[in-house]
Amino acid sequence: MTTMPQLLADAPADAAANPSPRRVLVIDDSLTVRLFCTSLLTPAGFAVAEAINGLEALEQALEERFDLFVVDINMQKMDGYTFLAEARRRPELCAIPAVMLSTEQAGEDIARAYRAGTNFYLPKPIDPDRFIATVQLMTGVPCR
Amino acid sequence: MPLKPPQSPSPPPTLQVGAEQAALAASFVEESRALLEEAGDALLALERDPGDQGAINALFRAVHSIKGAAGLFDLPALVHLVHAGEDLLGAMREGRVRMDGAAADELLEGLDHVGQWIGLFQQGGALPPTAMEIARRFAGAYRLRLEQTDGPAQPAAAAGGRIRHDWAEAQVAAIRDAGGQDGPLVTVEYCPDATCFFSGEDPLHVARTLPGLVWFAIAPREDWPAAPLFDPYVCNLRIRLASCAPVEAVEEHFRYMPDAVTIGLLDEVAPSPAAAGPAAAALPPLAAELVEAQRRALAEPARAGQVDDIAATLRNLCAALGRPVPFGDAPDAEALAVAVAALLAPGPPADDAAAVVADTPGDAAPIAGPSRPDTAERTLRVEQGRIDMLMNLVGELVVAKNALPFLARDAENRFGSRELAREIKDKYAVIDRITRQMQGAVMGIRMMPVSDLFKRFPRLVRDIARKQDKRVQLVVEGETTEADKNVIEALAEPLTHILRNSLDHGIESGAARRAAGKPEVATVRLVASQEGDSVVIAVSDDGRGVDPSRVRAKAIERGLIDAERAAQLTDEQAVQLVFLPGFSTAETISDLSGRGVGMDAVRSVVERLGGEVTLRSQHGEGTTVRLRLPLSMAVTRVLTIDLAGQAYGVPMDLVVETVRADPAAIRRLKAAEAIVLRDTVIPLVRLRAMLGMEPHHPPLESVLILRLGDAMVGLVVDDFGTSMDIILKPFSGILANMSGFSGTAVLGDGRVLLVLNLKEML
Repeated sequence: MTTMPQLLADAPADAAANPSPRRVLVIDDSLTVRLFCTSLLTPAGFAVAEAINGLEALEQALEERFDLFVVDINMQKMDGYTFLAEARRRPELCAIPAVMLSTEQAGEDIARAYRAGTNFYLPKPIDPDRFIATVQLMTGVPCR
Repeated sequence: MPLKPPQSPSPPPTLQVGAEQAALAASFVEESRALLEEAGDALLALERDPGDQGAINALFRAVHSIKGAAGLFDLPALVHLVHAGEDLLGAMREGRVRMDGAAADELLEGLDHVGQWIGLFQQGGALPPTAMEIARRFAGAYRLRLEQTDGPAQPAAAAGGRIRHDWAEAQVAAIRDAGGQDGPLVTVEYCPDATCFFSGEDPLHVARTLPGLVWFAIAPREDWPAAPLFDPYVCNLRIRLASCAPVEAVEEHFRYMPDAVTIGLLDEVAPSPAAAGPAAAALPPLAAELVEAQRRALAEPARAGQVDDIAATLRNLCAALGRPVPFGDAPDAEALAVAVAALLAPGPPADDAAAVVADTPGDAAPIAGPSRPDTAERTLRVEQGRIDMLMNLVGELVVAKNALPFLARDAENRFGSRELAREIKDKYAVIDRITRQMQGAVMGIRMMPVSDLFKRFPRLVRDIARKQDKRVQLVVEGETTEADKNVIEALAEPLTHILRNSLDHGIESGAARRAAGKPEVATVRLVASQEGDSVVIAVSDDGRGVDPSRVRAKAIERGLIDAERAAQLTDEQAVQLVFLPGFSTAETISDLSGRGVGMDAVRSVVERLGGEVTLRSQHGEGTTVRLRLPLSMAVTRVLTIDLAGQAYGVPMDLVVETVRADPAAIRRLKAAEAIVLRDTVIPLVRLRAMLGMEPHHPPLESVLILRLGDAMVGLVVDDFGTSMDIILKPFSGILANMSGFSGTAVLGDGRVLLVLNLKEML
């Protein structure tokens, strides 16, 4: 298992200069998906926080600093599209990259995701390797 | 810095490792169960009111979430079925397909399969080999409904009337290369029916003979099953084709299999970066996809003016890849577009469809309708085993505590210390109080609302009613009434039986009800309430009621009672005959309630739980079955009795009073004995005789007056003991079937108490 120090040892200077782990907020109403994401990202050296819907995520994101949002689409109270639109509207959150996860495969859903403000779109079921690599790329963690 | 693709050898993110995988699976099972339940509820709500947007949203969301989570596991059949269900629900949500009873039937049935599969999955088993077949059948049925849309457009159809195949756009370079064509291409996705080999369809031939064929690719639709499950007669192919022939010619070619194909057009594909050709410093494919995604995000007019996130993403990407960032501190959209182009310029195209699909015109459907009120309570999920263990420990504490009075008696009698005895009794009082509170608290944890039990019944009633073509509304009241988990769980079967009886025999057909001047929609009420230490559940219907004369006739015919006694019974007593073993009034045993188990089965379950069941019926007007059960079964209060030196327990709730009777006061009526107590004649039963022991004739007979249902019985024993709380342990193993006893308990002084099941004995 590669640890964060190992990753940093091989990292370029600017990443090594910032030793604090990248913080990822996983927003999904499914405990299983959250558990899955967390179990993938934590060993890879990320600090993961979870939220069960957009509203909670917004609250958390305004309180803490995050480097990436991992956003589900269908959630109660506030769905992923709305969350992203809200985040992009706020100066504190507008510069935080986001990746959407969804089972929706239709072009229009993907289009809507981009319209709402996502920076990438990963289809569910999540491929573990692809997911980790995506998060690493999107948070500036060098991937070997 | 040399770069490798992100599919790195670094942290192997396998989830096939024991504990983690198990936790994930457990969470999936639990969550899916809850979602299935939610979906079931929503479906029923929807069936009542097809316009209930909240219900359709909830349903869609539930099914969608199941699909999302199931994808993490190797459950292709489950995903297949749920996916098809989701498509149908999506169409319903958008109003393109209407919900009706038949559709609800199909969806419920599909959800049932999913539930079963999840159960199998939980037990660690694989899905049955038939699962995929079942999934395909349902998926087919759902798709059929999708095609019967009354809305304007097919689900996949875009505004132009022609769909665009995502894969075609992703494969455009390959297709164009193969075809050497610049003109419009027709793309076809052809998924032959699974049974096509039996209908003489030769998919490969069909594909090869497509007019103007320029490119085709064959792939399995589902992952190939393991070799033992592989069925060579099932077609699992997905064939993708591109043709330069006119679309009409292609349609003509597939005219016999319109369901198996979707036909798209590939005419105005945006030039892909593929055209740039290969170059030296290629981005890793995923990185290229990510950059491409940023290009796409930049192209969204909705995002003009706010590109900070895009800049941040690209900056991080460059940092991750060790490339210089090709823009300044606060880039505008234009600068970013240039940067994206620069990053992509030397790279090969992204080959995954997901990130490069062209935008499809048309507004997406609204996802979140009015959200349902959040009914979740703050709860702590605890494994049942832990609570049971806590309960057992409290039970042992109760028993251990009971040793203190014995100790106090010993201190006084054997060691002559009255003071010590008093000390012990004082301490006992304290421990006793705390133990009781603890018991109450633990029992409180085990209490569940009956709603957990009741929620399955709307579905049951609906299904039976539909099958019998009756119209029935189920009214449920008092769902918040609580009872011990064991009581609740044990009640599922008897209540199911009573409800089935009610629908099967009680509720008349619509015509009969009209003729009787009753509303055509019958009402079945399921009402729970708490009365003292008992929970009472009543099931009543407004059906035809029980016909006392028919019950009498049947009981005589079955030899359960002789004609003379039957004639003496009042109507009210006569209907109670339905509780006799082997009784069934139905002329034909239906597939719903018959099969030889009748109300006697209900009675035996309820009595085993320490409860009682009564039936009241007004012929022609309806029937009410009332179950009265103890709120909790964990602790039983018993009166100990002595019989030939052995202690027995009699449940305290049966005991009316204890009497010491002069043997002379006992009246003999032939072989039977009776005692007159305050002008009431009470039949006597000698416990020694019942247990096959020698008779015993003390100067004063100890008689326990018991209430069994509506009747009073005097039980003659050797002597009375004291009343106490015990934890009743049912017999297990070879003793499990022993009748006459409901279980054992260990006393404070170590003796074993046998608890009598008098309802069964008398």
